[in-house]
Amino acid sequence: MGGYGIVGGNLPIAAGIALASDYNGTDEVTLCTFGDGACNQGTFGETLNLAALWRLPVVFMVTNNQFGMGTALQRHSAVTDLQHKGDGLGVPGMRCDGMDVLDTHAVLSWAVERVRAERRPVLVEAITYRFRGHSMADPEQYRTKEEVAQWRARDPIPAFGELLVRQGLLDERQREEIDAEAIARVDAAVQFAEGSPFPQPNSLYDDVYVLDHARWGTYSVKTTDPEAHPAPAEAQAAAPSADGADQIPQQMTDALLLGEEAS
Amino acid sequence: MSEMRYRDALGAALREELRRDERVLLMGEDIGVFGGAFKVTDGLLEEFGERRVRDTPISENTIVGMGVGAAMAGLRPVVELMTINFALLAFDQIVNHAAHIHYMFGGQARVPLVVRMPQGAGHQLGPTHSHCLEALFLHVPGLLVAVPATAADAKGLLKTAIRDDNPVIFIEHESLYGVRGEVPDSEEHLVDFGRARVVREGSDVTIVAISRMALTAERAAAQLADEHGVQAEVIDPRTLRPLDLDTILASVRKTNRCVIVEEGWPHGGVGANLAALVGEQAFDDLDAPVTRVSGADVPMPYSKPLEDIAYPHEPQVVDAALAALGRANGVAGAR
Repeated sequence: MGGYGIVGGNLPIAAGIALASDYNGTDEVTLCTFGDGACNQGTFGETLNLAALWRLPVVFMVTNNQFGMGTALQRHSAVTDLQHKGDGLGVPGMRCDGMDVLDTHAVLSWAVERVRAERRPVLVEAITYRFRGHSMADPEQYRTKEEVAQWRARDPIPAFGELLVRQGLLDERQREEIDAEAIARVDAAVQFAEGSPFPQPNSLYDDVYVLDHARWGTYSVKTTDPEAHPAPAEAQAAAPSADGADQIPQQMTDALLLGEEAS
Repeated sequence: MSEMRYRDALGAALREELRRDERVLLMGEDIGVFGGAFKVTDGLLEEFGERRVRDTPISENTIVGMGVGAAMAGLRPVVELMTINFALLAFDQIVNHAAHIHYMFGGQARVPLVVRMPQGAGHQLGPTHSHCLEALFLHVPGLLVAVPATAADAKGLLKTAIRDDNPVIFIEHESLYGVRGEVPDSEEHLVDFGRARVVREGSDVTIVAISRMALTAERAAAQLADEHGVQAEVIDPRTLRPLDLDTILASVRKTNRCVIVEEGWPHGGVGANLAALVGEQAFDDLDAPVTRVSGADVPMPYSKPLEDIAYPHEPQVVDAALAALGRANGVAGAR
């Protein structure tokens, strides 16, 4: 049900989706994932309390990767045993080794079944590590290269592959095929994204509102609408774009207003 | 038609929509057992039960956020916040989530959520319970904003809001809950968003008045007619997004003068926005600057004498209208 850009903002939304499942009498369970940093947001306490109070079918999973952006767990949370952060809120906690595929699968499966059966939320803490920086602009001065290397040595993807080979469930060639397949899927997604056209300027206002029915009045004040508001000739001449698709006049002095009239 | 109070008209809208659509449910602080801080939801818990009328903890951001999630999953939640000031605790969910999810997801998810809240001064509730913050919500693309001033509009706009597929900020007024008015009995009494109500016709000056100020402006217009021979046209936009600008502009083209009355703060307020729109769209029709009458630019005082002068009353509206007509005989509204 989407990714969100506000740390902790997804917790109440997940609980609302679980509320809909419960309201409609289904056996659906919502899995809500967030980072260790989100445990310090107000939504964490508010949502765990309300989900427990209303016995909503939701598994809260905190992926404890040891950092909220560049601040280490022990520097941002008084309680670092995050599985216990729901104890006072009526949400029992458990932990899995987030670097171990089978342990994570086993604990989460059990958590989902327990929530489905008992109609009360649980909190699962997955202990893991963020191999890369928080973003492109992260010099990673808050940790050592040795620490990163130690965790990388436990990278769950190769570790799980090796386990499967050791147990004779895959041979080395099959393992390489699966790896290649996964890499090809990602490459194809990147190619699709890079090969897709940019949105047309006239789509700027699309989907701000649902406008299915007859409508009256002004929904948006469109001071930068490229169609309703043609660029001055000199602006077009001064800033030609490579493909002409991203041309939005920059100098808009007089506001223009468009209403969505009754259809 | 039945005569009923504004609060009962709202309650009737909720009751009818709960009966009509199984997907509608209510969530809010003290809306159930207590019957609602302003008694709007009184009796609904008894009729519909705890599945559909849900008392919540005091957790505004999470209540609204759960409304967002439930709406995305197909329900039509109506969340009540006890005052508009408490909505500021939910601003993350209202702005970053409810308002923007449809756009962020390229139209693949809808948030048919209504968030109801009362605003307004006059009851000595001080600076954390008495403000008029419609401008904050009007500012945000993706939200619809309704500000009903009468019992009939309260019912008709709330029913429309619940049936709309956009997130609606539904702003009631604490001083209006006990005010009676004629309300159509029909369960299909819907008031369209984006259609203003012409409260009173007139040819001399246009007065656009928001929320409770529509009533203040109506009384001021009667005074203007009786004491000054001035025929004011009073327009209540009813919704700020969408805005019925056409009706306002048509009136200004007729009267050539425009006064905007709001209870909220002047800087960046509803009046500032409307004045800009009228100035841009009807500059050649104006014979005087667009004038604003607004709440005082201060936190709402607790003290009764100070609270009384911190929001507009009829004399300020009368003075502003006369000033727009070049007949100033007093001090224009709070500036």
